[in-house]
Amino acid sequence: MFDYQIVISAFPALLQGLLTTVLVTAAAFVLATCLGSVLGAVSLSPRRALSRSAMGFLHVTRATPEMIAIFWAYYCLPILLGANLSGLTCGVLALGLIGGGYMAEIVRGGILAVDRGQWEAARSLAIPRPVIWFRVIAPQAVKKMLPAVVNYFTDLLKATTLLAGIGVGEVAYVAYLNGSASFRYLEPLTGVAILFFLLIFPLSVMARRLNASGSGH
Amino acid sequence: MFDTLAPYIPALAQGFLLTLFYFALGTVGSMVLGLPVALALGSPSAIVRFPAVAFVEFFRNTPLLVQLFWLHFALPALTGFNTTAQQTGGIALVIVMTAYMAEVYRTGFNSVARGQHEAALALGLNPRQRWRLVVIPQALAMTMPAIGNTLVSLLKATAILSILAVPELMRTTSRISDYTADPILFYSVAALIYIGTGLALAGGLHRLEVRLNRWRHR
Repeated sequence: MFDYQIVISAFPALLQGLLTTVLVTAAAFVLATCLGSVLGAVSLSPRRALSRSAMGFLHVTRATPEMIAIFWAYYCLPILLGANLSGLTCGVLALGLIGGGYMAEIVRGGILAVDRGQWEAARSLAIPRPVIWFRVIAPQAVKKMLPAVVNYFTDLLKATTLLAGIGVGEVAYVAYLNGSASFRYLEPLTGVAILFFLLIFPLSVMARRLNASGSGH
Repeated sequence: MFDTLAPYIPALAQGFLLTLFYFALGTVGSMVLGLPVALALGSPSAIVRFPAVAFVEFFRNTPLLVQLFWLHFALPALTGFNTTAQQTGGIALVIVMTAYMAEVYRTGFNSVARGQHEAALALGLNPRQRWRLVVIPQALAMTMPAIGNTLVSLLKATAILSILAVPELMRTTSRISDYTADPILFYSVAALIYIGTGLALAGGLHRLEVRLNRWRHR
């Protein structure tokens, strides 16, 4: 019943789709990391107005469904900006912005998890502030953030499939189109489900190991 | 702007109601079904544990969209039994959320200290009482933040059903937006509805969590 020949003939198209998936994931991850690092640090600012706005952004993005963000970006941004934007660009922007909120929370948690004494000790040694941030706090905070970052990365990988909704040819959409062309959905869709499992499951295991090995403490 | 919006308010409300229906279905389904799966995950018998672990890991480590496509388009080829988009959506949502909730419960059970089990045993409580009076109340209080996160994810996940043309809020919005050619208004309104609901849900769950903790420490 399961015809392997169909998976093999669909292979080049699926590979092309997988490349798009990887590209979207990488671009959105970079955007989310940059945005999240800044927002996470700002959310701890002693200036109330700054920290409150950062926390506001964080809460709003966490409550926004990725699906509506992607559609909003795809249909509204080109009109608002008066520019021609591809589905891929809009999708990356939407996922990156939402991911920024997630990463901000992770960064915030990581910084807060670094013992206060570290900061005080560094201050009493008269180490300049930027040096404290980058050489004392950041290395320890990053280590604590790692499991959560890996988890976020797997969520992002799953969320890239939502770009199918705006017709971006990532791997799930390619598999669906492949199935609809021949009315043989079983083979390409099973293939793509297994592919995602093989990509995501090792990452989940890694996140758990990192957590257990004390990187989270 | 309001003149454009007004005629479509009933349709949007209807879509939102369907979104809430799927949210309620997913909440009740996953919170009930997640419990036996979580117990199976912690079973000492490998025959019981393995299927539960395979189920939870498979559904947590594949995208919901792929699961939806698979259940809707691929599964009928195997079973010869077709489901409507609305049925597939409900089934997929309950299945995937059960997998997430089972993992949340399991973490909660593990976080209840061994000494609590032993103390309950020493007091002569039978296994049922031990779970009902000692383990579950403590596990529930400790897992409230994780349950809250899972429920917020569920609310967001309902929007993914739009891909199968289930007429919930997301899909309804797309159709109105296409029809009126005013995407900015309608997608923004829908986004605000989702964000408002999500924030209210997160806030409500947080309150509940605070109350549960206060009750536990009394």
